[in-house]
Amino acid sequence: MGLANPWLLLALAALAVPVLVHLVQREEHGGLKFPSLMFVRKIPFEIKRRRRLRDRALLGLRCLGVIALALAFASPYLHAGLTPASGPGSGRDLVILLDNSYSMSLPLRWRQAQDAAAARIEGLAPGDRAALVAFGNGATVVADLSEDKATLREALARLNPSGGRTGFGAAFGAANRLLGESGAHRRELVLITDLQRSALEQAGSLPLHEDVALEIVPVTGEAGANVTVVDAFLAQRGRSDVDDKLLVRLRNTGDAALEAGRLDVFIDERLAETRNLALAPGETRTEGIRLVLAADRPNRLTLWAGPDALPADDRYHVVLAPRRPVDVALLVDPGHRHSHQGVYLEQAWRLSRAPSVTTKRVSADDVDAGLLERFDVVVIDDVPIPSASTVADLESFVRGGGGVLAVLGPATDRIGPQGDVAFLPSMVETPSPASGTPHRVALEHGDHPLWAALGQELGALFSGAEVTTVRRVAPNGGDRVLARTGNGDPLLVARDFGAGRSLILATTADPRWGSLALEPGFVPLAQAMVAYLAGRTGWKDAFVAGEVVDLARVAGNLPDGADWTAYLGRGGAVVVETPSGAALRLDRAAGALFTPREAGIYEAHRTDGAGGSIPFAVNAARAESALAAATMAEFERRIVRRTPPAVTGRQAIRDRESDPFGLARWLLILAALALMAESALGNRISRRRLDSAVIAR
Amino acid sequence: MSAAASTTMDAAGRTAPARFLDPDVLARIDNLDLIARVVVDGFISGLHKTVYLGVSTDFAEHRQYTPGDDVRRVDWRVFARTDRLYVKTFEAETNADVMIALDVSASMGYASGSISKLDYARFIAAALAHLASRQRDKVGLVTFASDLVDYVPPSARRRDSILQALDRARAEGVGNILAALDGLSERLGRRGIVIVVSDFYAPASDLAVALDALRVHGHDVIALHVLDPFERDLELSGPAVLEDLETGDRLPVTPRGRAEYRRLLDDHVEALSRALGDRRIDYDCFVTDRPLDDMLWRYLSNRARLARVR
Repeated sequence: MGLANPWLLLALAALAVPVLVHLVQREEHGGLKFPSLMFVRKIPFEIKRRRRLRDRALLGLRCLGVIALALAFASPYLHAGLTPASGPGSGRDLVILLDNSYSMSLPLRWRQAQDAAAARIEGLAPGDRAALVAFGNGATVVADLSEDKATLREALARLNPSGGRTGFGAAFGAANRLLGESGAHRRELVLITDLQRSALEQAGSLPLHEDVALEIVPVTGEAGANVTVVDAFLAQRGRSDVDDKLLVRLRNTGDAALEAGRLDVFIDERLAETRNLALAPGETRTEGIRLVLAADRPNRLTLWAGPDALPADDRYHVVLAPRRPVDVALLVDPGHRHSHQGVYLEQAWRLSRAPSVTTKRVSADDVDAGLLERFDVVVIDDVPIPSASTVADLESFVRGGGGVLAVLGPATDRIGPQGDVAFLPSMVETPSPASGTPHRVALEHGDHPLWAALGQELGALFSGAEVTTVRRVAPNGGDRVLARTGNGDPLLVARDFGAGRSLILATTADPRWGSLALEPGFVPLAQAMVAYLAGRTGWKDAFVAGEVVDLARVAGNLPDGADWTAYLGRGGAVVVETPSGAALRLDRAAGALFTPREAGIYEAHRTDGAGGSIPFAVNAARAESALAAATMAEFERRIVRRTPPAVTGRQAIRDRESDPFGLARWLLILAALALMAESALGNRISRRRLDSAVIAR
Repeated sequence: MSAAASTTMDAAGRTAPARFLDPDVLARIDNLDLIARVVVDGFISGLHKTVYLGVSTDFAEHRQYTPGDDVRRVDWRVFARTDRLYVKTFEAETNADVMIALDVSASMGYASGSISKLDYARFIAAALAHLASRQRDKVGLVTFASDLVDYVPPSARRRDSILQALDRARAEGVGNILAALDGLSERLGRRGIVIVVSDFYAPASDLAVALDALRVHGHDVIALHVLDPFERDLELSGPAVLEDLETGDRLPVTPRGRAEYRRLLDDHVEALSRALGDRRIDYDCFVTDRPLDDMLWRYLSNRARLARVR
């Protein structure tokens, strides 16, 4: 006989409760406040002291109730020789989920995790099978369900902490798949993890098959100091226009202070700068470092912050590259090249650095195919397109990969000479609309590349914007309405047309029809719009491991990478060199999409040798550096079963096989009977005690 | 309140003292001053005037008549001599110090209903203070448990101080009325009326001696005994353990002990009444579910008797 939850026997400490209750009640039973016992004392009485025996019976019943309850919850079982989870048995399928995210690379943690997994493997009895699944960014079945302990041991020995982030969802998905295919009558899951809180918060609910017994083996403990580079970016051009200022945000995510740390900055693998570091636990600091960067080629930077307990996140890689500028043609009324048209947009683009934007005012009459070839984006700011031939040229321009931004205003009672044009959403109202009530701006499709480029503070950027008047636009099914006014009118609509893109802004890009152009979000919006229309949205100075990288877009941002899209369109192949030196050839199905798993600086190049090398930096998810652990209870709350779990928690095995006689049920019944008897006896004793304690006259 | 303050007419058409002073009603009024005014003014309106007037009869001076003055006070002799209307004013001096001694030991905090003995005693004290002020008596207050707790010396202008002292009175501590009365008799100076409001948990003979000590010092002593209905009747529905509010001692009783308890209590009240009566000390026992006007009537009768004696 054994107990599935022996720790619940701690509830026996509750035995103190009935004893205390008993003692307290002996003292306070039936106390009725009374002004004075001066006369009551004079009433003759005698006390029959028979209560001691009865009281003992009462105490015994109370204690019996508590003991029976504690034993019932401890889940006793009578199956001979069976011990929970790691013990021998028969016909048992066990899936071991081993967290190998990089937070597990703390030396002690990884050793504990391996030992725990090894113990479960060694505990397999004949007939038992086990599978080993490692999980970081994704889940990898490193050993399928097998009775062969040697295979499992070898698979375990090959495992190392990865550079990935803890992905509990993928891990449980893999476990459910394996156990769902299992025909065993006992199915068990052992989860060995550091219970990283940041990962759990991202995980959502974790589904688990019913009847699967779960054992969680936490490998936690003190972490020590852990300094990590959260991010690094160029802040501004230096005074001399030669040096740049790199801002590096550092954080100590450990539970101890970093006393004698160091930040090293390597440019193209050469040490360029060193700073001393001292960070308290939880402290965040930004270091500003002036560097001289090459202006004509990508700069490959590696920042190293340490030494600390978790070396896996000490390095941070970033590629700072000169970006291909965006050439914008701003169409204006013929003869009004120097009018106010597009002034707000021009000012915003003048401030843009990544990419830089060059604007040229062009009379709408002068537009032709030859002129458009020189531009990436055409902006039609409240000016009708004068002729059908211009419309045709623009349509061809967009179809070929160009971008058009149409800004509607008082002068735009029609877009083309015949009304609508194919590359822009339709206008449904031609007369000039009357000024209306100011409306707030609501953003939609937050995952659109345009918004993604603006970052997480997107909502705040336009929180104060009010639009008084809009031209009504009728998007079709393929268009995406990216913003609306408070009354639901489309404000910003995106359309993909051929290889190009178009945007239509249904109000003015100046203060005439609202305050949009005066909002702090207008400048980044204007910059993001041209970057999106020019196809320059794929660039990041640093990607995160596991993130999909569109190499064509990355290349399109660099001066030498302009024709990658066309090259890939022709079926060209790409080779990616990983930081560890492997050369991966992307197959045609993958196109230019690549998912890096390893942290470091990658180099991508075309197999035809043209265009040079395109570098991009990849880092482990910084959230994984947060070493705080969740509690078991918090974790268990995330687990969702179709039926209530038999038992969740540490060392939890309780199925019908392990308790064939229903001991727990009988113990519960016994507890209930004991407590009922206690109530009845308690009432009886109360009454008799008073009867027998008084007045015999 | 208006209903509570109404008066009733007896069969002969005389206005009888209003029976409006339901302690439960008063317990809901969180203002001692208001309670005192309601109790006293409502009660006075139903009394014969002679009970109330004539206490202060010392002539002081003449004052020119002004509209509203009682025409009965016009001095017609002066009018005959001077052809001007003058009224006689009387000396407003108090002819008695009234000291209210209130027991605030823990036993006074007992309440089987909505009003505790202390609250009831507080109403009595406030009403008496107000009544004494109306009669221009100097009135003071002393609270006691095993010793004197709070002391407001007699004054014609300190009714507010008395009300404040009553407000802050809390029933706590073990009581020792004999020691407290001993201390009080040393404290009091000028002869006057001493009204002791207590539950008198002490042997009747000892109490009589202690109260008589006050009388010997020249005070006119009134003993007001306050009891709770449950304390008086011990109406138990079943066996119970009684816990002494002051000492915390516990003792089991059953309904069978009730008769014996009632007999002991009645003996105590009877002994107190007899012993104090022998010493010309007024004694009355009040139960907290009874109206307060009985108490006022008792007090005023005593004041009238005092006036006659003087």
